[in-house]
Amino acid sequence: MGIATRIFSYLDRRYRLREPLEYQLNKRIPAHLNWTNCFGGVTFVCFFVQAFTGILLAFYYKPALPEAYTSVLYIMEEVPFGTFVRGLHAWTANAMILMATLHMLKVFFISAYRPPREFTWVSGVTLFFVTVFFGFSGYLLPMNQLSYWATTVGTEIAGAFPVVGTYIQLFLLGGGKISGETLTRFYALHVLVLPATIIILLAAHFSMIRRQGISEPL
Amino acid sequence: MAEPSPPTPAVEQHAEPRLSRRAFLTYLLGFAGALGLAGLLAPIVRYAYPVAKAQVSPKQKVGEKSALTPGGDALYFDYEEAPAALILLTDGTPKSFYLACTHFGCITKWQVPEHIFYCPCHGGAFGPDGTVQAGPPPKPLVELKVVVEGDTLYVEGTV
Repeated sequence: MGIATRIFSYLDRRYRLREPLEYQLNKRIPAHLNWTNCFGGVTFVCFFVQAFTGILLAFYYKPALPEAYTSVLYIMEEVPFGTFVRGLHAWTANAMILMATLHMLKVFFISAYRPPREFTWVSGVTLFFVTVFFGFSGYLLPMNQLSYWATTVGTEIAGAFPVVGTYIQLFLLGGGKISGETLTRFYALHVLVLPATIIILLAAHFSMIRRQGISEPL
Repeated sequence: MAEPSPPTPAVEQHAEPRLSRRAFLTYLLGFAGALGLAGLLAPIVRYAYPVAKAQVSPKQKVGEKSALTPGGDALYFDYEEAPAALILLTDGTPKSFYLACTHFGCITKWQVPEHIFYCPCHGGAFGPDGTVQAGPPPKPLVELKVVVEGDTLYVEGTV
């Protein structure tokens, strides 16, 4: 008996894992599926890559005003494989948005959002917004010219919202204009608030899909 | 009557191999997988491993103390590829600073009559001890450690 089997049977005797695990792992997939059903899964893989490379970047990144830019420079110039890790994070961020968009289009055009899957769709659209907000908040963190002006444009768009716009802008910026306050806010959103939100939403999204199965074609 | 069994041909009598074909291929696959995983993990371990930075600041000779007048002209030089200067205070104490203004990095110049390091870009001024005297600079000048050996002046790292 192999070591893996022995560890498994040890845990199985205590927690009765075999039955729920077999139920999850031996799920039958409908025959009508093709590669366009993979967009959602690929988006999840992107999220996994982002979480991992993001943690690695946080080893060296410093969310403070003079250090933000210099620490990114340090990652790019001094840290071995720093360009690789940051490049992977930046490119996968783009891929994640792209894949989420394709996933959304697929679900939309095959009308998979219709009852009883309304809430899977609602959670999915919320996930898309969270992903976009991930991208928006991450864009400021290197604190270069591109970051500065992209955040200026983004927060001014938020500021154009009727009635509450000015306050949304004030809360996002943490003041009248982009400063160290904005940076720490965006960092907190990017590494604490949004990851927690996306994990909860993903759990809801996946358990609804598991419970209801993949939608049948029309 | 029991028929004598025909003698088995010697050719078919090879022993069961110690490692079956299936097990061998499984090990091979596992090895290939481990190799791939190691290839993926090695850069990550290398990335997370602290960067060994040479923290030694070279000791650089600047000049002779006797060649300078207390409160007079500064001695300009480059330390670690950045412009710096050394002055003697009126009591004769040597002081050395990087000349980059802490505001936007313009190069300041020692002004003998005013006794300040003056920045031409935005009018920043630093006293002989490096502290901000006027203008927009947020921080004092970066001071260099001066080592005196006899009459020779050296700088060695920042204070």
